[in-house]
Amino acid sequence: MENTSYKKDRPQLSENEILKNKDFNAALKNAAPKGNAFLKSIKYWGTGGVATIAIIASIYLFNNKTNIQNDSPNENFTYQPTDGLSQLTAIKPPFLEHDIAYEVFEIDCSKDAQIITKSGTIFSVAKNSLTDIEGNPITGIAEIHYRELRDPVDFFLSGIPMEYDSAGTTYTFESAGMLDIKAFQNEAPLLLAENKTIDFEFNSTTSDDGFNFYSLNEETGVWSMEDQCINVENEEAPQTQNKTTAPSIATQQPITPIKQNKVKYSLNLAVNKTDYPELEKYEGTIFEINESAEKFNPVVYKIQWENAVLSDSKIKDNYTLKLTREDSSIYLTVYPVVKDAYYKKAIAQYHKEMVAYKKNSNNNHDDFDAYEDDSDLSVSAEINNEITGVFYSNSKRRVTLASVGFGAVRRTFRLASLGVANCDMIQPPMRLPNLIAKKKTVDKNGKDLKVKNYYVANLQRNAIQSLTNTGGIKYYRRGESVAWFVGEDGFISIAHPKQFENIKNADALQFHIYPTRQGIDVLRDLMASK
Amino acid sequence: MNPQTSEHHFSAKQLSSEEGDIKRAKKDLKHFNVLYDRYYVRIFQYIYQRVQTESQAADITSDTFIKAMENLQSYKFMGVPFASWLFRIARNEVYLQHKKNSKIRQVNFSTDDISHIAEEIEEVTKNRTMLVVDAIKDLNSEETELIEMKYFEKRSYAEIASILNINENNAKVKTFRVVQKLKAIINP
Repeated sequence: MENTSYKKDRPQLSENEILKNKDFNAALKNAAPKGNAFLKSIKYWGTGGVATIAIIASIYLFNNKTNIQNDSPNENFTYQPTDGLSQLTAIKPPFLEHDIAYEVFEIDCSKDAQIITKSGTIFSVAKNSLTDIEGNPITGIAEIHYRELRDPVDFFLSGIPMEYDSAGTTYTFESAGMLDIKAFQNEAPLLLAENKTIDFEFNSTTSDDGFNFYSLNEETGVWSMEDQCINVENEEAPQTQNKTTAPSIATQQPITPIKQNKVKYSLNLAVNKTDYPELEKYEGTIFEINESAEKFNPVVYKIQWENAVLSDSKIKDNYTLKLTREDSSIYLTVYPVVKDAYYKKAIAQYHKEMVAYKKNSNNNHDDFDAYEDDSDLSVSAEINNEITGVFYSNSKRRVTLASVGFGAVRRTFRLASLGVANCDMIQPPMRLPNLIAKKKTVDKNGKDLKVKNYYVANLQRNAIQSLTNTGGIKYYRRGESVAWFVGEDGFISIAHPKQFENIKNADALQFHIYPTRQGIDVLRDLMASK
Repeated sequence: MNPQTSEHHFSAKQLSSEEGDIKRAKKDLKHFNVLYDRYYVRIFQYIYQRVQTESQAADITSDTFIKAMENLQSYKFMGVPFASWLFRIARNEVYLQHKKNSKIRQVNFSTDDISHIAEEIEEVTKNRTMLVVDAIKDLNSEETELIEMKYFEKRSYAEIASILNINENNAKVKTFRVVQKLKAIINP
């Protein structure tokens, strides 16, 4: 390393020696908080101070009472390592605290292992498949760290590059699902032995054709296409027949739709809900497993059940689902929730019915509480085996079950090495964001924003592009775009899809500024609404 | 080299208490003294490891805390120790001093540290200390940093990851790759 000296056995300073350098008052005196310094400046008070105060006040309110004091970010300061310090890995999550978490599985290296992940992906690690970093076989327990990245928000939060270079041209990936798998023993990374593979039945995000298999060099960020065929099996469950519109319930208080929590296990029971009108109310209703009642073992997904009975549960708004086969049966406590993609529609329906209900009942009900999603992950586990038959509930309400199934798309492939792999399709030029919004970008209050780097996602495609702002924000010709960037303060500024519908008539592109957590939730909701 | 006291893992109670300290400091910087007192020695040690003199370490430590105070309003509590943020600032400050002021970057290590690495890479020759030190000289700045933090400062992978702003698995894999690189340099 240049300009470096290497010093052996330099005497250490004692704590007392260190502490004699400590002087908080001196540091405090030299610290000039940016907001205060700016507020105190003559220039500030001399040039439209009142107007600026109004803007700051507006931003304050707009940002949901978050504390923004810096009127203009200091471009000279960053906590992120400068270029010379940022080459450790090409994977750079924008918020380490919100990085997509790994699931950790322990396996005995001397035995074959089959792992079922929260998303329903299944993979097999054959015995003696793992070696240490020098290729020596290992024995004992190893940890498998696994995560899936399934939508543009996951890609963004993981910091995994989504560009592919081919013959000097950079393309953007559209993904059918990405995975990151690593193995460790006593914190030491392990490798997959030569001539060994891990077989995947990957729960893909789309049944579309044309996706290839790529692996990432995590150090350089370069993706390589693997010479491998991905088999796609569409396990789409038959849809429930005889869907009817929910009857008007203006005289009954509407049921509050609950949004699916993606970190929880869920089942898609495509039932004929004639005798359970409450389950037919909202389109996209599935069942989440209530693990507070009993711990759920995902192996349930793998078993071919022969029959199932849904009945009322002792727990309010919950149901008991009994799954049986020749030699065994299990009981699950489940409750209805609405899938992400249908949630907005359900909420709209709820509000409409609530207005009618209030009008009829002349009651003063509270307004609907805004939904808050605490989920960090975007994966869900759903049942994928199919059961047909006639179900009877304990309450004698007959339920004809068309099927129990999940519209899963399985992509089967083999991994020859651990790391990051992606089922991807290169986006042809016409699918890239190729229109440019006006150069001026402002916040909600019309105040100019400086945007250096930003992301744009196509809501119709599972793709994200990271771009540098050189003369305007790019967006997609077709489909809905959402663009966002991260400020130095960690706030996320988002240009909502509606912005892009009428951008031609707008004189500026407006960004809404959110605190990090809220911004992530907003992005997730936008992706779910696609 | 003396190992750093790793206090990266905080209990929920400690984190909650620290969040309160940060809120108080945001309201009035005078209250930042609690955080200053808590982390001064650790930040000083981190910096001192990377510079030549005590006075350089004192100056950069001071700059680090000044930057932290100046930018405290933009700090968002994310449920991890405040130290992570301070270390990132300190790392940046060391880098800036090194680059802008043409200061010499110093890598400090003990004979024991080198022996530890030698054992890790199964180097048993008599002059192994010299071989390992020479090999470290061939590493780039980021690779050296990983070796410093893991073997000279005895930091956990979680702490290394948080300082470098990468995920823990990446920190593990990258460190082991560097160790492999050292081995390859010594035994080409």
